[in-house]
Amino acid sequence: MSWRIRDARDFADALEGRARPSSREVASLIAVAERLCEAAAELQPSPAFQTSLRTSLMTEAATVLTATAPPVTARAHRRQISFPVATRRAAIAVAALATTFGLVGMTTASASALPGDTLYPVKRGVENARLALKRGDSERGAFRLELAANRVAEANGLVEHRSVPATLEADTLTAYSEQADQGSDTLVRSFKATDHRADIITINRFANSTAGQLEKLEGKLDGPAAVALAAAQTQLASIVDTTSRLCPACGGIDRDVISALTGPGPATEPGPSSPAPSPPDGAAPQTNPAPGPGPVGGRPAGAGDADEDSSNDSRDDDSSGDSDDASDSDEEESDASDEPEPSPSPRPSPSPSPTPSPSSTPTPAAPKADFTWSGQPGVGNELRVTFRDASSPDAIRWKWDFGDGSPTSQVKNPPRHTYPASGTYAVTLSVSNKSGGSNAVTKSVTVPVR
Amino acid sequence: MFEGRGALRVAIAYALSEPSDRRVVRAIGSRPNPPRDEDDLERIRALIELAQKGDADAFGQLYDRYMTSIFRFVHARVGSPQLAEDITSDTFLRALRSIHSYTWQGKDFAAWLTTIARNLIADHYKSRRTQLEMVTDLPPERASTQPAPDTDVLAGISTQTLMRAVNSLPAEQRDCILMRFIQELSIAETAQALGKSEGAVKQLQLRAVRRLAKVVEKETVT
Repeated sequence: MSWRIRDARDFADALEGRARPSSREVASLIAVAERLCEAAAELQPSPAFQTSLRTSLMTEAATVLTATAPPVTARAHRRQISFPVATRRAAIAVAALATTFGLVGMTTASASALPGDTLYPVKRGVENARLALKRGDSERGAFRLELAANRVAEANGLVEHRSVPATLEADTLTAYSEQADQGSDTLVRSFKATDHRADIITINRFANSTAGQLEKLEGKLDGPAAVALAAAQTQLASIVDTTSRLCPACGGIDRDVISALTGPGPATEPGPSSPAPSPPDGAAPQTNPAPGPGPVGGRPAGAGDADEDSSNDSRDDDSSGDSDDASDSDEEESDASDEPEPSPSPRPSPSPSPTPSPSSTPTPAAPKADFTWSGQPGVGNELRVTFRDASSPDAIRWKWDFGDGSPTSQVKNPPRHTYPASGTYAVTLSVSNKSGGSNAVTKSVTVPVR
Repeated sequence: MFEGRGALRVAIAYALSEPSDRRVVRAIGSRPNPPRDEDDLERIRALIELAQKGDADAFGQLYDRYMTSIFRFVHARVGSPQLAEDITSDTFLRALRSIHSYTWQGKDFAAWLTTIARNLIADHYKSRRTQLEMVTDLPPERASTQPAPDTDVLAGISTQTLMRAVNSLPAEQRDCILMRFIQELSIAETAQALGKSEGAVKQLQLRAVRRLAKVVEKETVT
């Protein structure tokens, strides 16, 4: 039978212009097919018939269609996208232009639109429409990261080509942070449900590329824009922190690029969870209880080799069991040689005990516990809260109870915590120091109804 | 990353949410060819959804797009233009009345319309209790590598003769030829309409064209 299949394929390929006829016979058969197509043109309906049938159908449709329109299903109500007036007008213009000039010109114009341009709302409207058509966490999360990348590209564009009010830059960078946040959260959720590494790798690659772009903006912004930039970098560092915890073996991260996120200077820990702006962090051994060989966080991932190659498999399985997140990383803490690293490789940190701010304050018997938090609304009533430790520098152990029954976290700055429902939560941070003194503080986090 | 498709989608999404805005609906529908790329498929989807929600104009646009294709198929099958007109009318009327039962996952829209047409043709002939379309003697089928007729011979054949030859083929081969070359459906669409795999359609079209070539050769020789 194989000759039949091969012949059939050759013929099909030649018909569609993918290959030249493989034999004289095929060539002749192609000629027959062409003759058929010519004949088709002679089988045209008469214009008179064409029009008269259309008229009859339209008359019929007036009764048939409206009378029996079925109840609107959930799918039809799928998404209500609100269109600002400018987008509406632009949509009509685009649709009309599409038929005459093709979409190319319009596309190029709005694709490169920057905040402040006339066509910029169209660009954002298009993004939203495309997002609405994405299905499933994986797709949606990845697409949000694409949108975030657009924002940072725009931020760079704004800086290079014009002088703009700092608020425009700031807003763009804030939008970046939000999309990065939502996108990575969604992908993390997908990863937790499906274990598809591709989701984490997508985040890593996104972090990689945008970290570089954020870095390019350093020093070029001031005022609110600079603040937004710092927040964006912090955000990204925290995201990378999460992914390396969840899947240390997942590749896509370039260590050097990521360590640049936390900025040069005294905060030498490559750990992303110590954001530049908080000085007291410097002293203590850092964020993550450091497993000797390896990646940050709960997993003493055995094979510490840097597998940047996303196609490698199941490296993270040979660690002692626990594939949970950092909250269970009790046992690693004892090792003071902290290697808080975002990447899976065991590269020792350049200075294991970064001590930019002398912790030579007269050590009280017990540390002072404190923290700050800030929330960003998520989907529905969700609130995504970022907690930042603000305890005294001598604290070396942390334990966070988020007040919603979720597992505790034992790192200095826990990964972003999502409260799914509105309400008030009592969040407790307990800290202890080297000499065994401990303290705790409880604060209320309120998730508003939206 | 930012493709032209995106702009089209926002237009479509807008049209779906504001069906009273006729300008956008019209702008969406007005491409002449049978749908080939994703853009077109999106447009078709939008039109179908609008029609299902009660938009007569959207249905009109669908008619504009597919009318010629269906007509050609029917005309090639039945030979007579008048009969072709009747059956084409019935096809679209039936489609209009059952548009609600059309779901995208089921069948490609072109395949769906073609199926309606085929059924109507079959009904027509069944009800007349006469023999189906024109039949001529068929040479026995062989797996051959004989060259098909010269192009000169081909060019000299009238469309009528050619169509008669097509109609003399076994039903599936005939329909495959009509769908692929008269309606210009894709392999995928043809596969859907015939209820076969794409690989099977490729083999079928080869068999059909080979057979047709032989019939034509025989016709012109005699």
